[in-house]
Amino acid sequence: MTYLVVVNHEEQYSIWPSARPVPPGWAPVGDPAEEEACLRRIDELWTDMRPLSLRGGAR
Amino acid sequence: MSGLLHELFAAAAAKWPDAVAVSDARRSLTYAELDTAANRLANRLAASGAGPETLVALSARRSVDLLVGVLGVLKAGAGYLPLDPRHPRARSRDAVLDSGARLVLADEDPGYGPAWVPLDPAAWADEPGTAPRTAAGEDNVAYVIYTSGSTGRPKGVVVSHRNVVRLFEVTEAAFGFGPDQVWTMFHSIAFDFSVWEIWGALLHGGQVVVVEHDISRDPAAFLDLLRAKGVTSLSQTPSAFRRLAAAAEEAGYPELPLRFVVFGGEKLEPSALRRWVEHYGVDAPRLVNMYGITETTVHVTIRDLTHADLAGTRSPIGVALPDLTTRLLDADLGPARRGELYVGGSGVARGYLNRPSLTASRFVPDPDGPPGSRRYRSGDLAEIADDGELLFHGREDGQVQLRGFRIETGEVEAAVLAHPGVREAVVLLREDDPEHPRLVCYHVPPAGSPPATDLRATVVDRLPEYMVPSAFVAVDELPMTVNGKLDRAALPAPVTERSTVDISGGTPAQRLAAIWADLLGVPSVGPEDNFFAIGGDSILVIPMVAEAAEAGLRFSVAEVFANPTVNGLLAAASPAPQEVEVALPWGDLSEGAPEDVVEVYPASSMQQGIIFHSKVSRDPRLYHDLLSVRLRGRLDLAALNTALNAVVAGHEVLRTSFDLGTHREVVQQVHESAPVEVVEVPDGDLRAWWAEQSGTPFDLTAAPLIRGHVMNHGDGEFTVMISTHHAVLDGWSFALVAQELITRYADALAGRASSVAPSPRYREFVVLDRLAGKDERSAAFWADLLDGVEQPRLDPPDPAAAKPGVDPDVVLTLPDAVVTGARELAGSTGVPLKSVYLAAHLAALGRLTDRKEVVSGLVVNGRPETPGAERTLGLFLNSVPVRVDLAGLSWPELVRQCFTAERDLFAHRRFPLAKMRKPGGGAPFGVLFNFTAFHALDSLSALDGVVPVRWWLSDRNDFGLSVEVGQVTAGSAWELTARVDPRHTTVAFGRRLAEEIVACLTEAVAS
Repeated sequence: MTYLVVVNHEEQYSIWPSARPVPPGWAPVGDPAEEEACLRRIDELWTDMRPLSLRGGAR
Repeated sequence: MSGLLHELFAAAAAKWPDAVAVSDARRSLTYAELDTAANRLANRLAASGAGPETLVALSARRSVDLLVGVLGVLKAGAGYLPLDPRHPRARSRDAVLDSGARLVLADEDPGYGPAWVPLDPAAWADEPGTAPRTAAGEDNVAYVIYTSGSTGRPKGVVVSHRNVVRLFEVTEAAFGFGPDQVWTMFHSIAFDFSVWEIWGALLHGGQVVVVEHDISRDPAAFLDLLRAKGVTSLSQTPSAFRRLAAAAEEAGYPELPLRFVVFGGEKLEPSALRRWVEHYGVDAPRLVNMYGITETTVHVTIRDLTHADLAGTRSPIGVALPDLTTRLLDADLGPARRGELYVGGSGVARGYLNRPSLTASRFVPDPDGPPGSRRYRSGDLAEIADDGELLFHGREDGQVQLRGFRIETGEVEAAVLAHPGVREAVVLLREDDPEHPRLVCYHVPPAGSPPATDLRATVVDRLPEYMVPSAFVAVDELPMTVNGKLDRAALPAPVTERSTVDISGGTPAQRLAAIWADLLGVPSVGPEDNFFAIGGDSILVIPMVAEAAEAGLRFSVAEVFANPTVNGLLAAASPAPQEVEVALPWGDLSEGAPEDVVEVYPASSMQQGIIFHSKVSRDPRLYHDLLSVRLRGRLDLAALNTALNAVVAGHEVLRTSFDLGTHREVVQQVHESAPVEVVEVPDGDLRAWWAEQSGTPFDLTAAPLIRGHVMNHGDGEFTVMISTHHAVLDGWSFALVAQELITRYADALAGRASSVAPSPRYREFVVLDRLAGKDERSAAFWADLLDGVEQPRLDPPDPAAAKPGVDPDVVLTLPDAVVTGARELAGSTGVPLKSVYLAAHLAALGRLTDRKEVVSGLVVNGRPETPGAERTLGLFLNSVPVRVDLAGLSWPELVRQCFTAERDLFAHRRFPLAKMRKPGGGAPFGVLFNFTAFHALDSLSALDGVVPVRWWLSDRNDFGLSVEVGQVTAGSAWELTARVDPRHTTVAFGRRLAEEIVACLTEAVAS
């Protein structure tokens, strides 16, 4: 079973089974991969875990 | 309702300025006072850098100031990181450092990481009493609560103001919050049930009654508090409530001001509420079950309990709060009647602080929610019943719930595995008694090492109380099912607990409470807690009485049943000193004792038997044991002498001699001192030396019954030979002597002081031995087992046979494939390794003697289970019969049968062999099996100054044929030895049996 790295409007990342349609409001990032590989990729990509709407203005 | 928690509080404060906002046992603050105090603190914190998206750690005793702290942090725009001051410092420090908290707000300077701000209003009295302006918004962090993490690292759940505020919006209809409500803050701020308790009151003009820790653990006092403070709104874990209900019953079910009780934190068994409901009904107060998860902000579902629920066995959790969705999904995310619970909606927290991949794997896209929304994958298993009720089923992964805490057993396992003496560990919630679930750790030492005995001490520094297992059980292997999963059913229930709680300090009540808490695995115990109500039972009474006696608190088991509370027992306990207090099962034996004797007590039944046979045989070599080790290093005879004398001084059995004639039975006399001198003998052949030396008899009436010799080989190596009489030391104890002696010697060479923990006295075992001999159930068990037994027929002895030598008659080295295969077979059948070898022994004996039903002797260990008894020296062994019908059993079945047989006899293992002997006859078996591994010796390989090169052990008993499978130290070969008493059978028969055992093992491991 492979997964997609997906991201939403708040730049929050998650994973989603690649065999299922990606839910609305989420965009795939990259190609399907094993779960572990997806999670490793997320560790690289998701460096600011604050929701997008909180970044910048808050401090 | 929307906004920020502290702004909604400020609005309430403006509306009800003079209403009491918070109180503890000493004082209270009105809304206006709390608001002002929190404003001052907020200004202080803001000036130190607190602000939106920053965290302030908060750790303080439970008092009104704790609420000032929570509000002050929020008013500064920051989020609070709640820490329980009762948690280990290392855990709190790790959370503070992991979270990147800017400040620590605490009673005392914790001395790590960020700057400390004292939680003392006097320290910020000069700050303005108006709230600072901040840029904080509803989606900013309000708090971060660290919860147990499966990989051993706790994780911080980031919860926003919006998450919390909407909780009260959607539950308003169910609870009608308002200024007439009085809430207890019963729970630690580190547990999110407290979030419900704080804001349920403070957003609505109600009062928070801060319950001090001691009161929270004392149900009677808590009941009084509920009445005195007019508490209307109570939150409880089912465990805590069960104790409160018992207190209410004891108090005669007084009238209570409660309007509702909210249950959360663990699975509720409605039937446990029956007696409460008989008196108070389900409406006054209402009983509300709420399932919840920190990651979805305190509560998820709600369900008012009904009379019908109490009659059933289900644990209904009700329906999701209006702004949450619950879905049961299978592994492919398809809907399921029974599946993993996913929670979506506005309670879903932001995620785990600084843990992107973990957050991504648990907070996943929610196709049922608004675009881009997430739902939380709970890991909880639930089911929708036919009537639509949502039922909670527990966990599929390693998370367990115990007394309101969600515990990732993986985190506990990680803490245990940090100990070098643990190779594998598994932590389970055992519910042998469903009323009193407890956390149990099973651990496997590294190959060839002794099981770690200080695990509790290791983990208490790393884990909060509620995560510390109540029992640590060493096992040879972790049993696996055929498909490779842990076979939980095959893990034994823990029999006793070992205390490492500091019971030396404090008042008697505190010491006794500490003993109970440790034994029962509860966080703490109040003075009126009933031992049996909080997890004690008739089995646990015995170690409890023993540990209390050790702490200087003396009472009987019967007194515990009569007065089962700490206070009750202390009132009933007799203050007499120890020496006259102990009722020993024998009379005054001091007659005939020399002046230097400090203690006299009977020989144990096994000691009596060994002494009897030693005397009858007149063979000085019988039961004359040698343990020798060749060491590389410097020989310092004086240091060796000092070390040996220190060992002898430290163990009463080494200062013991026997009085064989004064009394009707053999008694042992413990001497005040028993000097011994290490004698250097000329370099030569060790076996030849022992062949001669072993003929020098021990005088059993003179202490010490231990001798030391040393042989200097002149090549930088020397051999230390310790010899003893088996009447005072069994093999394991003998290994402990060697371990202590060599450790002390190495310490002396290095100029270090030795530290050897004191151990319980051998006399304790003699008491157990006496009691075991009078146990009629054991007598019946053995009579039943031996009923109609036929002994295997051994070859008749050869009258011309030579006398036995110092080495076993037969020594076979087990092939590696057999050793590995035996371990695998033990693993796949879920039994200890010993069972595999015993099975092969019995099968071989059956084949050789052409019997389907076989009886053999088995060496068992009757060492007491009192704290530290694993270090006591003495003779704790017993030999008991094991009887197995081999007919039609496959190898795995036979192996399991052997394990079952040994498990069944465990409770009866101390019953004296002498009482099983037929009148006028010998032992009920002619062949004895022993499984040995003297792992105590392994630690010596890590010493500096001396390096063990080679071990050699020699011993002889008087059984017709003794088979032993064992390994002296880790890494040395597994050997199968046989010893024959030529008066009973022949060496040739012993050899055939040994070879047949190896053949059986080879077959068994190939099966």
